[in-house]
Amino acid sequence: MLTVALLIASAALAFSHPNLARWSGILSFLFINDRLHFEWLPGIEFTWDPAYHGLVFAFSLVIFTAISYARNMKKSQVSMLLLFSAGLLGFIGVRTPFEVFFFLELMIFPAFYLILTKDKTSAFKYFGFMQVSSVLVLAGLIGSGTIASILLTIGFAIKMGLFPFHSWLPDAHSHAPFQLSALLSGAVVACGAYGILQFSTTRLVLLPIGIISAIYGAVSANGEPMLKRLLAYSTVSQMGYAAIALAVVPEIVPLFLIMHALAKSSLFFSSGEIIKKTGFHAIRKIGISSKTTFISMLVSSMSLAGLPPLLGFTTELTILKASWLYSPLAGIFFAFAIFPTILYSEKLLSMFFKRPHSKFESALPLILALMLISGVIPWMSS
Amino acid sequence: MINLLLVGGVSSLISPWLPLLFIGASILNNLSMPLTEMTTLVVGFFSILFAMEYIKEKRKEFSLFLSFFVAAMILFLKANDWITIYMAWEFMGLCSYLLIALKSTALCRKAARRVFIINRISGVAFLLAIVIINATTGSFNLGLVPSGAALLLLIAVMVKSSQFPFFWLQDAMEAPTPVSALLHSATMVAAGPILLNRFSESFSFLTPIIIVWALTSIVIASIFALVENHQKKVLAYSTISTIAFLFIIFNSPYFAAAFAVHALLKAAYFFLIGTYASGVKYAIEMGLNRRSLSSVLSLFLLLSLSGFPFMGLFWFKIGESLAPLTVFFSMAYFLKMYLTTFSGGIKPKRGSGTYIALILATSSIILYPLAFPDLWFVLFTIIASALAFFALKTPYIYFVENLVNFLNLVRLPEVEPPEEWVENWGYYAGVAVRHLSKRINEIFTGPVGRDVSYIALSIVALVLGVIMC
Repeated sequence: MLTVALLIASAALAFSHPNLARWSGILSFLFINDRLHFEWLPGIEFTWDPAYHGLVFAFSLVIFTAISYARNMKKSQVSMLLLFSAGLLGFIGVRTPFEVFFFLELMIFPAFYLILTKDKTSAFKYFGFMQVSSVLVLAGLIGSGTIASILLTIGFAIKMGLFPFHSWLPDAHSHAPFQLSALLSGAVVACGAYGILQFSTTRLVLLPIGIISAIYGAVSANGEPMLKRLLAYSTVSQMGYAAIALAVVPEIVPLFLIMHALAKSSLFFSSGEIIKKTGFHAIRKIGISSKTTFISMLVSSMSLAGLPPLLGFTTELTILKASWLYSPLAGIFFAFAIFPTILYSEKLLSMFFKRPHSKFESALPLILALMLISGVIPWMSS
Repeated sequence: MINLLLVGGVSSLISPWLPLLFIGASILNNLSMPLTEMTTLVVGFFSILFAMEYIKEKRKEFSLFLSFFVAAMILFLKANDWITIYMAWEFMGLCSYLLIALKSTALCRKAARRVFIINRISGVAFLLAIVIINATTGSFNLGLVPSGAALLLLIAVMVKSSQFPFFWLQDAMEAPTPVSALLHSATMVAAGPILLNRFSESFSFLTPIIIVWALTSIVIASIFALVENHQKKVLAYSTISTIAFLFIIFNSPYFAAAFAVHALLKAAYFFLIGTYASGVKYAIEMGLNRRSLSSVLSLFLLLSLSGFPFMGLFWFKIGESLAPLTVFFSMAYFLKMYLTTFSGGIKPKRGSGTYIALILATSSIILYPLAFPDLWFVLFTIIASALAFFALKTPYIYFVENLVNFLNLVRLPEVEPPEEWVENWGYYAGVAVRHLSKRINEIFTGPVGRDVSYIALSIVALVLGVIMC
């Protein structure tokens, strides 16, 4: 009862005291969807563009976490990881076709090397898909007109892992070391969506593809017995949401990508640690006892499923409303696509309710996951 | 802040954030305590209290999630915009999932998954509904709901309340008993009718659909309950049918009182079962002694819950033309459960659950006048409350036990009451009933007698139900 009273009291305090709300809102300036312009020092001005700085910030967080997990990796692997990160961060600021091509290629080779150490077939699959993708993108950027734009969109759609071109994604994610798969899933596919947002003009094509891959990814994830492959299919599903957003409400895409980067990389880091500790890849066999990992998995998977106080909810609500306004049919289809997310989220959570093999705590994924609570805070920061 | 609390009002935080949405959160911020909130807090308090005795492992997690759930339910009742209502709605589903899954058996995990997924169907329908509300009215403020959104909300509510095609409540009974008492009988499943009651103007055009849907649920759930032998599942089906009854009366002014009476009585029944069953699931394996406090209490609760004349939900069913049906059905399956449970000689266990059940059952009587705020009725209630007060003393129990024997028509062993009872009215009333029952026993003797009496009682209940309409 005391707990209840405290909860209610703290909620009432937070809701009724405007200063308190504003102070907690300071944390969330990173995710405000307006440009902030301020003078840092006399003469030194700074403009906060969420589509650029917000994404860079989220990706840097993921990269930082990945590097701090790289303690047991070989030197060559760590250097490849860093090279890959350079490509990732470089891609977000690109403007010219050469820069796009250069940074895309910079992302391909290190990841290819890292996957090659584990599995040959999936590495070459990844390499092939990515090469086709970047060549298509280059062709689209150099050319002009509708066909060039469609080529560009297809190129980036391959990178996003949308439905007909998704088959590289589960293989690459499941065979890469988990530090890389967090980056691949959180950031590389996001680069595809970001590229379409920046350069493509034919985005409406993505609406049906997005709906199909959202449903297909979630249903496949539900049928998938392996932990990391499940997360990979979940990425296919989430990129379906991003594609729908690109078609109907492109303003929300950066925020959605930030949400996905934080949530999915948190899930990958947690699951990498789980696999390392238990030694099992199949969800059915895994049983663990870990409070921090449970909270981080709960928060991130519920954010993907769109539970209210989290960032995933606000983005999903925006996409749902925009697709409903575009056409009620699209809205209903998107609602059908939202539903199956819970199927695989529940599968992830079920690992914590079995008889535990091992017990451990890990804080790093928790930090990433708790940043998702900033879905509430933008209400307060005005 | 204190000033705001005392004066009452709405406190809100609304700011333009995303280009398309105008999201805010606001809650009703006042000290007025509606009956629904009070019931939630009372049942929540006793559930957590009982859980601390009942649950042996993972007590921290259970108490945390139970408290979290009570907070979510209060948020649901206090919320002043659609986003906050939806947040509380989803929290309740999540809490339900976590509390069922915590028990860590394969059966529990399966039940939890099913419950979570079905709750999510409700959640997605709700989400689409609030998006339609936002797209039509431009904000998430409460008000008249557009008809398309109302239809979707109705689906969400029916799924959450475990109505006809979406029966999930009986699976949720895998959870420990205190959890079932709080979430799966008293509060969470009743959130649907509460929502309908709150926006009754928007849903009034759907009344025929609601009544037909609820009636279907009542009939099918009652049939399932009749063939069910698992005690908690019988209670679950009874909850489904009572919630369906709440759907039928969602427009009426005494809705909140009916909700409160049902919540108190059903939670009391769960506490009682949790104490005397102690691990045994099926009614037929119990073989408990009929001459005991648990037996008397469970008879009182089943009569009140089924709406036996002048008891419990009767006062709320009295104005409804469909009530005889529900009274008849619930009398049938409850009596079947009672007769199979209390059919042997084992002395049932007594614990804190029994006494909590006693308190809740007697306190439900106070709520009767809310159905008919009439002077005579208030007087009657005062007398009934006085009787309930005497229930804490043994002579009244002696009287009721004899009444039990009379109702069940069994041969009575002679038991001499203690001397200090003799001067009490309960003693004389008990003796009178005993003599009456002896005479009737002579008519119905033999093994068939009990069945005949059972059928006869059901018919009497039906006839009484018809008369009272």
